[in-house]
Amino acid sequence: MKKKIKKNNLNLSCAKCSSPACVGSGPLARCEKHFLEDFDSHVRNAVREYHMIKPNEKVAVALSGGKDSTVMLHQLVQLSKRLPMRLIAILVDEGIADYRAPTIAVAKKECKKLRVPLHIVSFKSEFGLSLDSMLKKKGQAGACSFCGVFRRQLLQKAARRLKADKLALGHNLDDAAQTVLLNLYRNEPARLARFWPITESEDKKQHFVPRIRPLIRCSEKEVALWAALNSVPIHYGACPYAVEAMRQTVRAQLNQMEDRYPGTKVRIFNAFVKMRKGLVKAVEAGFSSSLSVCPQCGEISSGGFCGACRMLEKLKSGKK
Amino acid sequence: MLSIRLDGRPKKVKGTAATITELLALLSLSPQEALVRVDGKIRPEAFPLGGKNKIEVIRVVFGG
Repeated sequence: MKKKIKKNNLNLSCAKCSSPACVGSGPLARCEKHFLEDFDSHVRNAVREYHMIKPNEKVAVALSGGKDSTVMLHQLVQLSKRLPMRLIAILVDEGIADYRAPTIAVAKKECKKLRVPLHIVSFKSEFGLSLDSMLKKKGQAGACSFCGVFRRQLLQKAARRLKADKLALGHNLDDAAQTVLLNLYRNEPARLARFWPITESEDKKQHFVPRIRPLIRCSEKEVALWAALNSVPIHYGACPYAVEAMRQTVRAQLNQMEDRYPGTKVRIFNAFVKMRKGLVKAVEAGFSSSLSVCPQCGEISSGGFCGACRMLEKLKSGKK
Repeated sequence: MLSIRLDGRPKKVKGTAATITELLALLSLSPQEALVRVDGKIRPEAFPLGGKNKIEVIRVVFGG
């Protein structure tokens, strides 16, 4: 009986200091202090390991007001005390009624508190239509991929206009593990080969602002926990169009695996890191995995016309 | 019957839960998808629950 109680207590105590744990179990159990220390070092190490930011660079944070991007903003502000950088934030207002307004309010408040200039750009001003209007014409199927094409292009344009050296995205470990599995499920080796904590264009003339992912080593739950422990006001709401079936399925599968086999997401990402070099070579031998330029708008494309131009053309012609 | 708060709103949950893991199972939530505050402190999944605890579940995984 005594042994059983001791074992249970071990699950509830920080593996580093024996204080009450707030997360994890066994050797992974952490108290608030040690969780926060670990989290900071995951971000610092990822930035250093993948050479994401050079001293004095201008870093544009893609900020939505959701938990990932808001925590990333806080982390980069903290990191800027060790690694000097100029931070700005870019928020894309897609035009989603009853969803985007609360996150814009959070973004404005946090930027003001952290003294980071915020630039808001919108689908309406850039493409002539809000996402709501686009989806009325097109229908809601595949809304996430559709929105993502325009959002990525707009972030890239805004970062370039603001002369940013890097564009920081709030992708976390869950997103990375999901992306690896999704590209395997969909038989998309070229797309998988392009995925990396820092994404650059091979053609330097394209003025592509490299995208960085400082939270790549932090799980979605850890990001939320960091926000909760630091009283960061987060808008926990679901986008009304967020019904991308396959990613949600992969997310649920991965969470089930993580529950049964803790460390699954980290192992998937680490395995990808190990095999990526070979994957890039294999893909290059077969077909191109690098980014090129859209002949219509001059933005980044994976070949031929970019996704945004193709989709806008469809919207104009009334095709679904 | 358990009385908790889910995403800030009061909720009655049918069944009993000896730990946070069991409570999340009653709510059909993965421990990866939620944070749980017990009497104001965030606790790990193995944390034992008692009848008088003030329990708050915050779902953290949303799309978009």
